[in-house]
Amino acid sequence: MDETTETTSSEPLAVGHGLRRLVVADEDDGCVLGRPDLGRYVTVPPAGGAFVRSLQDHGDLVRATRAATEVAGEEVDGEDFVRALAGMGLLTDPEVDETRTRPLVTPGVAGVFFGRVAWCVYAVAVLGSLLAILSTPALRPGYSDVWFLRDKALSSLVVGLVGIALAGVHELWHWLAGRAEGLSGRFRVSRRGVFLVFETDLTEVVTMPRARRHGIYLAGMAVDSVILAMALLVEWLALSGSGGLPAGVGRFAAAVAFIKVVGIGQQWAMVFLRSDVYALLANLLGCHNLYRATWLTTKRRTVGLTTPESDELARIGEHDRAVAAWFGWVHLSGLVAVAAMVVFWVVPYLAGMVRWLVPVLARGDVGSGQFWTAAGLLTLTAVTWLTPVVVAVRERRLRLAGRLL
Amino acid sequence: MKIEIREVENTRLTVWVPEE
Repeated sequence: MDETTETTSSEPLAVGHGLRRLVVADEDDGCVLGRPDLGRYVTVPPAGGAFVRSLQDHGDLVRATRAATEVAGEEVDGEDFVRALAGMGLLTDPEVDETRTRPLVTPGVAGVFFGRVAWCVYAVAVLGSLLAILSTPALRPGYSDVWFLRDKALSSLVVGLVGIALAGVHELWHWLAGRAEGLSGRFRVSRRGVFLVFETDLTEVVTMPRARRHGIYLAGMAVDSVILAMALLVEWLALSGSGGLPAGVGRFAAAVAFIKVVGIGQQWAMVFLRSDVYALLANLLGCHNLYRATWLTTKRRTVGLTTPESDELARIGEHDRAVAAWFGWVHLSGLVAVAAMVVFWVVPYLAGMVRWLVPVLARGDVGSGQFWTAAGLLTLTAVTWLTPVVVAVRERRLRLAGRLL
Repeated sequence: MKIEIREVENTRLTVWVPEE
């Protein structure tokens, strides 16, 4: 219990260090409350924001209730509000002490990559890439660009590894864009459906004005477009023979261009699986909890909802539910398309891969390059497709534990 | 009146690990 907090309640209210960590930001026609250290955020009407600000300043429940009542224009139940916040874990004591560590990258340094000049570079990269691909058929990315070496298996392995490295750069750019605004993103390996993803949790972005969030959402595709433009330039120089570049370098650049075109395409095509474009769209539409509303809407339309799920959907804001009513159809058709893709494309591909790999590995010719290429491809494929299974099992265990507690 | 509290979803910016 914080000694500066006085309450008139017969039951002491557990507000203390956790309350001081609560961030309040005005947004739309309400307030965002959240704990950056816990990564949990909620929205409340303006009276809720006034209440928390007053309680933080004066530590007096009666005074805070009065402040909220003034804003709301009617009597507010302050104790109920504090209990509800505590029930959502927003007032729990911080796990770590408040010692400030020096940030690895300061906002000033990160800001260099997201100033006006930088965004002009990103825009030129997007327009230049589009122009090059549309005007020069030889630069048009195609699936066969993956095989930039004579050895197709080795090409696939190298492209897979380069793809992982470039995915890391995409995430690094989101993290950097967060640092430019003073946010600390958290990197993790996760899944979207059956697919392996890297993700950077930047939920703290919801404490910023909506118009300033776009750069953080677009940062990944911005760096993707620069990599694409550079790859297309190298490819063009190699094709035209003007840069003195060996043809092999041009073919590798074509493989990189293909990786990036697919990567940028995925961000737009996978909007229903919460891609970067989803975050952009949800913000433009002024939503707070669109994905949960969408998921519950889709479930209601297909297999029906349990009573707790119906209650949960009813508690989500009206605006989110209205958007989910149409976005739900995008979501449902997207899920059907992805399921079809997995059945008709991913499964046959994995089966073909195993059929090719097993005999090569079974020969056990450890002196041959082909053996090690096959071993590398098998490892890469297993990690790519089994990690989402491990993540799903862990999610399920946590969810069950959460319910049992 | 009771002050209504609503959840805000996580912002997790994602990249698909290539299945090119």
